[in-house]
Amino acid sequence: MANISRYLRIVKEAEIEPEDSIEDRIMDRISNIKEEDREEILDKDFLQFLKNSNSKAYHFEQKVRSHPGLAALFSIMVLGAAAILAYIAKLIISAENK
Amino acid sequence: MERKKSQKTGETPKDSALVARAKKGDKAAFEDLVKMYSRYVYTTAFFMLRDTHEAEDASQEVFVKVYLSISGFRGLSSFKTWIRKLTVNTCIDKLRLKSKHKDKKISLDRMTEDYEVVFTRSSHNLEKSYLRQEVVKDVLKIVVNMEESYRIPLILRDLQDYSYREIADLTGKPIGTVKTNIHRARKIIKDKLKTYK
Repeated sequence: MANISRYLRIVKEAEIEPEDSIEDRIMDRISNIKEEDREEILDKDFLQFLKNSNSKAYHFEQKVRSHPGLAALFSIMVLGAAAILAYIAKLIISAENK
Repeated sequence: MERKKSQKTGETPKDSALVARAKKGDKAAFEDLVKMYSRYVYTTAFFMLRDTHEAEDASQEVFVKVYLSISGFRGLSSFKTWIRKLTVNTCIDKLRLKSKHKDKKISLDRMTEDYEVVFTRSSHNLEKSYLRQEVVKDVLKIVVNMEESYRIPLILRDLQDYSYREIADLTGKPIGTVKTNIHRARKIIKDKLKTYK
């Protein structure tokens, strides 16, 4: 599938040229937005999307969910480091008590 | 030009400046953002929806939402990433509404006849190789004509860099099914390209 991956990488950079003046039609639509339409446009789903996109916790959660192996490895390393530090602290305290 | 470490992937200093101005209500800056990203949004929508009118409608919807909410955009991701995800979400919603309709195959011949496929960041090799450009256009044709259950996961994974988990969440399918369908989609492309030769 190596060739397919290479072509798909190039397809990623391809764009379809839309009909003329799509920007003008977009700006026309924006100019004609009525205040009463705002609530319908910015519906519950969109507001949740906006909230998620502005949330560091959400971004972190998504990274963890997308890379569960890395997250597990990181957790083990953190716990291991904590255990080592706790052991060293215990040794120091024992030495001081002697 | 060296990219600053603080720059997010896909974001240029020009983007950041335009977004900052648009957030303050500068309509000219927003119009510049529309000019920069309209083709990108349209292309994404077209691949997912396979209809030029629906793709334009989706593009307008995306930019209307961006216009109304950009003041609330905090910039934790790049603007391009944000607009990409919004485009995908908008298209997924439209596809859900259409899900009762039969999955019609749309001929891409009209598309390649009426619209130009532009390679925005061509390698020197691709620019020189007309044959390779034709193969890439064939791949595009195959992708657009694929049925939805293969096309959407393939587009999200290979063209939009979504993780398998994100695709599973978006499409409501188990992650195993997503991976299988993407593998099958790639195989369809490979097999069909052989028949074109």
